Amino acid sequence: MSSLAEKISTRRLHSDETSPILLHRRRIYILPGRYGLYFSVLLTIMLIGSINYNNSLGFALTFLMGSMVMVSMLHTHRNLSGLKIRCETARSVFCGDKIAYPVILQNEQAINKPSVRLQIAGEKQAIVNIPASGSIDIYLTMESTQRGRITPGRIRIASDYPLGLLCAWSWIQPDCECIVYPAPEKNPPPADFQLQGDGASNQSSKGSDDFSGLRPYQPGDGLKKIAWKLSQRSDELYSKQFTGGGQKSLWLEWDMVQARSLEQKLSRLCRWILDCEANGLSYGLKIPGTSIPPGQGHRHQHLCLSALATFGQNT
Amino acid sequence: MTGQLSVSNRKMLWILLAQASVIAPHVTRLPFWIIVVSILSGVWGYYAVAGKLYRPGRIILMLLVSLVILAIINSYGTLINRDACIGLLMIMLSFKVLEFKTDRDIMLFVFMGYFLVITNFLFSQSIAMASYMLLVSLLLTSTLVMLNRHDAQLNLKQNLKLAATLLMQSVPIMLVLFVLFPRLPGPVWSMPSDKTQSRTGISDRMSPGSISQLIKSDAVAFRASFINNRPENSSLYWRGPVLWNYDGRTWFPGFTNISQNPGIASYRGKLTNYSLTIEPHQLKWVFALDVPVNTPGNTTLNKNFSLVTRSPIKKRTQFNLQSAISYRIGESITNQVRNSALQLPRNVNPQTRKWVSQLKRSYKRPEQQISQVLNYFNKQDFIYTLNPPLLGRHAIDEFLFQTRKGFCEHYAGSFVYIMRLLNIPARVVLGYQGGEYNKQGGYLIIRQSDAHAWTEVWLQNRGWVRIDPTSAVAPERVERGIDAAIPAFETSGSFLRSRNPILRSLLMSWDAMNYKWHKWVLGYDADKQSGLLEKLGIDTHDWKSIAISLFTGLGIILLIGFIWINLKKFRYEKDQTLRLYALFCQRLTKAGFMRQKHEGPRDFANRVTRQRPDLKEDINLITRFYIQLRYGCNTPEKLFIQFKTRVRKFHPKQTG
Repeated sequence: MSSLAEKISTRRLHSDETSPILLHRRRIYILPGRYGLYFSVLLTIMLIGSINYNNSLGFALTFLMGSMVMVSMLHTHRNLSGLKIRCETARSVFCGDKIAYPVILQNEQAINKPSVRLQIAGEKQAIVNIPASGSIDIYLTMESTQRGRITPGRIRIASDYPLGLLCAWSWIQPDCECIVYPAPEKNPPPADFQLQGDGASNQSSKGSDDFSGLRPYQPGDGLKKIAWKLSQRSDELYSKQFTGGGQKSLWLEWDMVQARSLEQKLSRLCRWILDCEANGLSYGLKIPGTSIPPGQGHRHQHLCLSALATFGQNT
Repeated sequence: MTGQLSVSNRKMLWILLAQASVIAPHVTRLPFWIIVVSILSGVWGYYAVAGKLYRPGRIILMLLVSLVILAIINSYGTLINRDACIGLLMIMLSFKVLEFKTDRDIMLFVFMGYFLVITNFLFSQSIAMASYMLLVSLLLTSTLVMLNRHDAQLNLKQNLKLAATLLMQSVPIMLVLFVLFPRLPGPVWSMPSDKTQSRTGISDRMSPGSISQLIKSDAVAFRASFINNRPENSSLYWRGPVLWNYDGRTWFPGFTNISQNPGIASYRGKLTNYSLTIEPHQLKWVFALDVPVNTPGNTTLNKNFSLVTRSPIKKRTQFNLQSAISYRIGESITNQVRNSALQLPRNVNPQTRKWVSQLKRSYKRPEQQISQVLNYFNKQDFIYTLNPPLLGRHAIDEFLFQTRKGFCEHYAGSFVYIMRLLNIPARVVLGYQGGEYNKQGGYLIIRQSDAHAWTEVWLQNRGWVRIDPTSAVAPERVERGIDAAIPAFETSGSFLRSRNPILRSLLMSWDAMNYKWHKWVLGYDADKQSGLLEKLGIDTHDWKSIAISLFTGLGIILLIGFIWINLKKFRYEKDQTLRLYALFCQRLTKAGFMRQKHEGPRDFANRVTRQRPDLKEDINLITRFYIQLRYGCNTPEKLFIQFKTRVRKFHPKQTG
């Protein structure tokens, strides 16, 4: 029965929808929940008792309760109807970490919508109360199991408010996505990559640490490059400049990695990118189909990791 | 609904309170120990849920339950009857609190509360009980709302408000179901040995004191509403059992071994149409107005012209009856009947026998003899009183010649005795006489205090003729009712018989309300239903048309509800700030400044103030307020009020 209900209620979900998604009455479904069934058993017993004792007030109460179930149907339905849902791009995570999709629920009606449950299939549910003419932001979490552009898939929005007897639900399939990077390899073999200057002179990675001077901090400078001690004394932040930082750069290349599988290869490249970034190195990425010139900083890292994440997938 | 227990202590307290309010009316009916155990286990459960007390395990609970079952069997003697079941239910409910593990358990606990409401209706269906139980249902529903609202704190007011809304919106559907849901006649099965209620009312024997005891009761025996016009008080004799046998002290029905068709009463004049609503009295008598002509439904006319039902009247029942006020019955009787109507105990009341034989010698015709006896009652100083002295072995001698204080049973009994000595067949009739007219309700209330005994004598060519010897002594009893006949001090202290006119009229209104309640709500049964449905043009014999009308009714109401809810949604979609700002823009539009789609409030304000510097102050202020109300956070209520008054006072056209 529940699988049938699910089949029927999801039959309109074909492709990912763009936000905001309005829950209108055509896409809200409602059925008695488990307690609704218990309650109907109770009502049946009450009805039999009333018939047996020919008890008018018993009839009245039974009918009142039964009517209340019917009325609560409208209330439960209304608790979802008219809700506007905006799903946004989630912050990138490494595979295996939790994705948190920001979801904004907007209630344009002048009634509270308490106890709205949101759930990505197979994940933990979130319960929110959405104030009248207001909105609420939540994060819907989801385990990431593979790299790439991951959408949350079907999200079930349900409510059994006010009586818990009937459950109204709706499915949405938003197009918001999260770029899931490959998981960095845990214990990578020692790196044997080379710094490449403009030419091809091999240098140790320490070479880039040659200190050459200071300049005022600019957004994008790595934390490790900030001259903390010096900055403490003045109002401004200063970044250390290294010789060769601009010219000497590292190319992380596809062929440099020897691994058993594609995923392991990507994992290792991911690890290297993180290491390079942590060490303040300038690095470029060359993988089949993509070539990213050397650079540094979060943006650059994201670009590289995204390239790894979507490798082999049509972007 | 989460998998674990998430209710706070305060919520828990509410749930227990709601449950206690359901149980409360049962308290007087239950054995004391059940109440104590319930309260203890409720309190224990409360602290156990709060984590302050030990929570009993499964085995201990099982032990407790079996102990309780034994105790209930010990208290009630059985487990399978209504009262024992309710006792058991109560205990189980209170034990459930000890078992709360998840919110799920609490939901079921609240469901049980609704069931307990019905158990209360088995005992009382009064207006007061119904109102109280409505309140209880409100409480229970609000706890359901509370459980399904995942708030940290308890929003008592909101929960109650929503519960009230839900209940109120349910009423129309409930009414449709109540009216149209097919009712079955009679019980399907009954729980064994439901306690028989103690009965008040006329029994089928009469001894001195048996009626005067009833007089003290204000309980309603039945109510009668007349279709056309109400007969005079003096002809309102409500016929019950007829008594034939006398053993010197008590009158019995007797005369049971003769099967004789009562024949048909011949009557003159119009028939009186009326309906009787009889309170349950556990016997079969339908106290029809003397003398009934029709035999509706479940009733038959017995050989004494008393209307009886086939089974004892165990619930309030309504009968639609026809009676003849002037009639003749039993114009010819058999010898056997005649002998039964002359039976007398021997060797008692010598004085009466002597007095009667004197009477016999001086008057020959039965009519003369009867009027002489009545005369005697009238002329001698007989007193009509509720507290007659006790009588000895020669009861009638003592009453007629010494004490001369008695009540209707004394007069009726001794009159029949005298008649039989005179060789005139006579019998005692029990029933009610008169009644109090309720102007508000347009019906007559007949209470137990209207119980009465009169006599019938058989006369050649006339049949059985009613003679009420009481009226010879206290004519006001028959003309104006019992309260007029008895000295006030004898009935004093009874609230319901207060003679204060204001109180009297209030009491009558209350009674009229109760009567309607009983007639239309509690008494709404298969008969009433088919009557009502036929008036509505629904064929009651065809279940299909009933079903169709039921579902049509429900459909219409749900449709109305749906439309209403959706209309309401659109009507209130905009918030007040937006609405006021729209008003502001509208007024500026009239003044020649229409806000463009691309213009934000600030740009709009700047554009207008450039051309209308005179409005600068107002416009800037309103715009600032609006921006703050719309986009700021934690804006004080005062700001909104200022905004509102500013916008309302803003009239750019007039100033410009």
